[in-house]
Amino acid sequence: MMNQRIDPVPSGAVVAAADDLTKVYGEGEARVIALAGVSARFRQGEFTAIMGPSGSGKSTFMHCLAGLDTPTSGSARIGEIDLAQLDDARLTKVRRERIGFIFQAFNLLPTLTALENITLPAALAGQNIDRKWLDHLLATMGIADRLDHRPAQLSGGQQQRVACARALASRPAIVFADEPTGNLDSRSGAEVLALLRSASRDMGQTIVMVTHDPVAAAHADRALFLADGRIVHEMPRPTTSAVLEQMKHLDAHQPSASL
Amino acid sequence: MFRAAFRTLRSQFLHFVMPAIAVVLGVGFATGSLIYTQSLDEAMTLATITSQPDVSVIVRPDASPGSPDGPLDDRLLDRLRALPGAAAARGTAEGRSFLVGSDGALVGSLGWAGGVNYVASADGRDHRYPITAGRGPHDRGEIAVDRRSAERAGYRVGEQVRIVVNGTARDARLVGVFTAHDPRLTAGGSLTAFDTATARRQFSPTPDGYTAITLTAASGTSEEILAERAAKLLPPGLEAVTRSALDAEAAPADDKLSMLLLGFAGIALFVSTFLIANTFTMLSAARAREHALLRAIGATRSYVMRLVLAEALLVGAIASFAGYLLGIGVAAVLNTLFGTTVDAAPPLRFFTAGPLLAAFAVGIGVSALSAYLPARRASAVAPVAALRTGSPATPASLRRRNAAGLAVTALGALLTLAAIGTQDLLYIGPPVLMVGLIILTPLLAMGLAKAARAPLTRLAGMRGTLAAENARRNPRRSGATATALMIGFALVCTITVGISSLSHHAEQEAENRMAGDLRVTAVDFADISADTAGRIARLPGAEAVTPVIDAPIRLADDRFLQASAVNPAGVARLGALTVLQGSLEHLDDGVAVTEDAATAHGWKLGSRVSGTFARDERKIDLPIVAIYDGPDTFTPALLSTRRLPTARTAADRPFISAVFVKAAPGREGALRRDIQRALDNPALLVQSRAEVRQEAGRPFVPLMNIMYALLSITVLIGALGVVNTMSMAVYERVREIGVLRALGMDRRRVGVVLWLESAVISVLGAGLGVVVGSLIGAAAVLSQEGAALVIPWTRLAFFFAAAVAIGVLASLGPGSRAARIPMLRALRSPVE
Ligand SMILES: Nc1ncnc2c1ncn2[C@@H]1O[C@H](COP(=O)(O)OP(=O)(O)O)[C@@H](O)[C@H]1O
Ligand SMILES: [Mg+2]
Repeated sequence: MMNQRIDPVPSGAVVAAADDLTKVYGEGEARVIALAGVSARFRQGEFTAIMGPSGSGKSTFMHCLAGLDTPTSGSARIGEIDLAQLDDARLTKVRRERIGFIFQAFNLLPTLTALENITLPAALAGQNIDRKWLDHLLATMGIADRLDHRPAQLSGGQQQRVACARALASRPAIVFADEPTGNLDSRSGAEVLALLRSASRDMGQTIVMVTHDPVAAAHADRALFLADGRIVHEMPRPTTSAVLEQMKHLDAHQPSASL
Repeated sequence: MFRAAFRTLRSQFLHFVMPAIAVVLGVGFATGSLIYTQSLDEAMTLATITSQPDVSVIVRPDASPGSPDGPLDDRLLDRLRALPGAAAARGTAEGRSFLVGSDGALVGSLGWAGGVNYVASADGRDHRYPITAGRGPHDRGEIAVDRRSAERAGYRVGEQVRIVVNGTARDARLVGVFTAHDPRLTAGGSLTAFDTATARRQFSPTPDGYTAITLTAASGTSEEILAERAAKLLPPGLEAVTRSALDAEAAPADDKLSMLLLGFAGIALFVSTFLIANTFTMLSAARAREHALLRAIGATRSYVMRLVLAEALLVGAIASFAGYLLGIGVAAVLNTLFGTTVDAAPPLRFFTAGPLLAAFAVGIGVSALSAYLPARRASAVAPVAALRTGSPATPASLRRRNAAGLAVTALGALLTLAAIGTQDLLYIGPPVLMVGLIILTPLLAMGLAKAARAPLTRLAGMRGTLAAENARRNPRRSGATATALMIGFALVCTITVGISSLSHHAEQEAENRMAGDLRVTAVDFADISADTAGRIARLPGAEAVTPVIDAPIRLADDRFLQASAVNPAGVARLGALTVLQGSLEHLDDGVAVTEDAATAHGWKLGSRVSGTFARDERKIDLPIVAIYDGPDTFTPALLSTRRLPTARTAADRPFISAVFVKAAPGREGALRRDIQRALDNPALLVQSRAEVRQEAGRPFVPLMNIMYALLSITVLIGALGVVNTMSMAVYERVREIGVLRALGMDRRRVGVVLWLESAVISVLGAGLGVVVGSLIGAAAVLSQEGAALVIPWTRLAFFFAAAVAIGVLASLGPGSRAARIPMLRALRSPVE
């Protein structure tokens, strides 16, 4: 069965892993080493924040791990599948069936209603969504009364909540969120972060969130700090002040980075 | 200004490719038509002016009906020659003469096959026809022909050749070959020169006459003075015309053709305006922020407007240049398509001011005109839009446009319906209907997309939903795209229905006019000799033979009776007539009329038909001996060929429209071969009933094909419109496509979404075009009295399918481009 999903991995099992991941852009003069050997593990139900100054390779790391981009060397695994071995069609299938995405710019399809947007990944995968689960999700997200609206008729916060529902609806093995609060005011941002937090804690959803906002990182179970394409620090149970401290420290070591 | 426009052009190069190609095609078509028709015109004028340089004045019968009071004979020739100021005079005897090639087929363009008299001057030569090989003809058995025709016919000096004059084929010896400046040759015809005595016998209406006399003015005498003096000598019915008047008379090659070509070019250009407008609208929307920024830092509205228009002008200018080059190719194609024969095609004149100016005026004009509204909309952007984020303001509501569209469409439909009764409305109704639909297409696009959503979703799942939604998200653009397809296919279908009906009507009519088993007719421009029927009657197996000769009679009450002269015994045995009263037995001494004619004129059996023959005003006064009913050929009145005035010369003979033959049972095939062998004249066609029917429909096939060929440009531009729209859609939706890819839509499906959307738009354009075109065609047919409507359903269905296929094919390119969009770049793309 093509649409079959693996059984939930026992708590604490590794859902995604990177091994000595490198990514090099361009050649010669224009050569940029975005990732210089990154290894990390992401466990079931864990909410990880990836922090780092601008240009440190956060997005690149996430893209490689999520099958949106191919690493130059090293391996990225989702479950037991090594993404480096897959062609475009198989990668697409993995994304469709195992990964959820939340983008900074919401990226809802303007022609579809909120509900259609939420069920879009399942429709693309040809799966049916568990109605009960969906209702629960919609209630949690607080958008049950907005389902027939098009994105243009929703506020930014509402749009991002729809995007969260879209990412969670088909219960993917892992959800990647790239700066999910970057385009939101602080209140809407806090709502979205609380939702992600509860998805991880109450629903056992594995989440990887790229952010440069210490407040956002404080919602995560742990924070990984990237600088110059390397993981330089890992912080369990991050707090805003601890993260801020760490960031200052990183900035001091990276005079070239500009914010 | 232009530098800024040029920079935009360079950076947005790809967006301008499609609209530019559309303009190139339209301009190419228009200038090609101009170059071709102008070259044709000039070649003809040149040939007219350079032909017979020694002619200053021509004396000929004037346009008044009946024969002139005095003959154009040698006495008149002598008197004209003696006029003061006349240096020379020449009697010419010209008519139609066909040359049969060595392959048995007639040579050259038949409408321009001329026979002339070779008039040797003192040095034994005729300077109008300089001999390049051999000599001039001396007697009836000798001819000379123009060099090109001799080559085409495959004849050399000294050989026996076959010619057809006055409906009879005969052999003659080719004694000379000449060159000549003559418009007939320029137009692709042939010239056969006879000695003067033979030419006079063949072509002159009087035994010792000429068809015209030409005068050469002595130096110091003007054409006008000489013409005046000549006119004084002439009996009524003859006129003296100056050379300049004659040249001016030479009709420009083919005005109808150039109007037709330019008309089609105009349609192609009209269709391209939709492409250009779509592109500039899209670009204006994409650059709204840029324009707003310009406004915010102090640029005036008109500056922004001029900026956009300058881009359109540049695109137009570049496209015009390319279009002109294409036009040269188009002219060459037209030259072979319409040139009567390939080697008679006029030399093309590629760089003349007219077409060059027209190309740039049209190309730039069309671009600027179609970019005008988008430019105005661009300039209307509010400066604060520069500071706003998010998607640009939603375009104005379509409500007023839809109301207007409904009203105009309804009016157009009513007018088109009314045109069935009042033919003149045919020029108003259909255009109004089309304009109405063009206004209405956005509404129709939204409606169709909405209706298509559910079935498409059932068919293709999420892809179908997205395609239907995408088709309606920019209804103006979808509508304009459908319009471009609609116009081309509407015309194709109008023409298909119209010509199919005409063709069927012609076949029906030919069938109605047929009698007996076989029919002998002359090819266009040729005729049947008087002895043809007699020669056929002598063949074994010919049971009944009759010629049909036009013999219109002007009745005593000044009404005309379009009578025909026939062989009474032949007609009776042909068995085609139903005699209602009286009998055909005494037709030699009377007239037979149809029942309708009898009623119309108040005639009964025994009434007298009296009046004069319209041809030569000789009296006729005969009793009605029969009232009958029969095929159209034999209506409304018949008399015996014996009652016709006898012809004095070959050129004066009556016009035989056809000879009908009935074969003995089972002898049709053999008789037909015998007739062909006996007549041995390729200018005569011998056809069975089925062939007569076929022959009547035959000319419509190339006509239809030429129309299709001309319309293919418009259809092609319509298809380019779809490519253009789909490319713009991909450009605008790069980010969406990236999201879909990230969420797991594979490459192939990204393409499928696009071609489903394209299919929706194409179905709209094709459906509207086929339906409206067929309706207009039907209205046009029904407005013609007596015409029966024929709807070629399979062909129309084929056009619909072809239009949809074109639309889908047009989306393949943009579709594969969409599938290849790098996902990460798409996700980062700033375009929303
Ligand atoms: N497509 C690309 N081509 C070239 N260089 C790139 C590309 N994408 C990212 N980079 C470079 O790689 C480095 C890491 O980028 P990125 O992962 O986007 O950082 P972050 O998300 O932490 O800001 C940066 O120096 C960036 O300029
Ligand atoms: Mg980033």
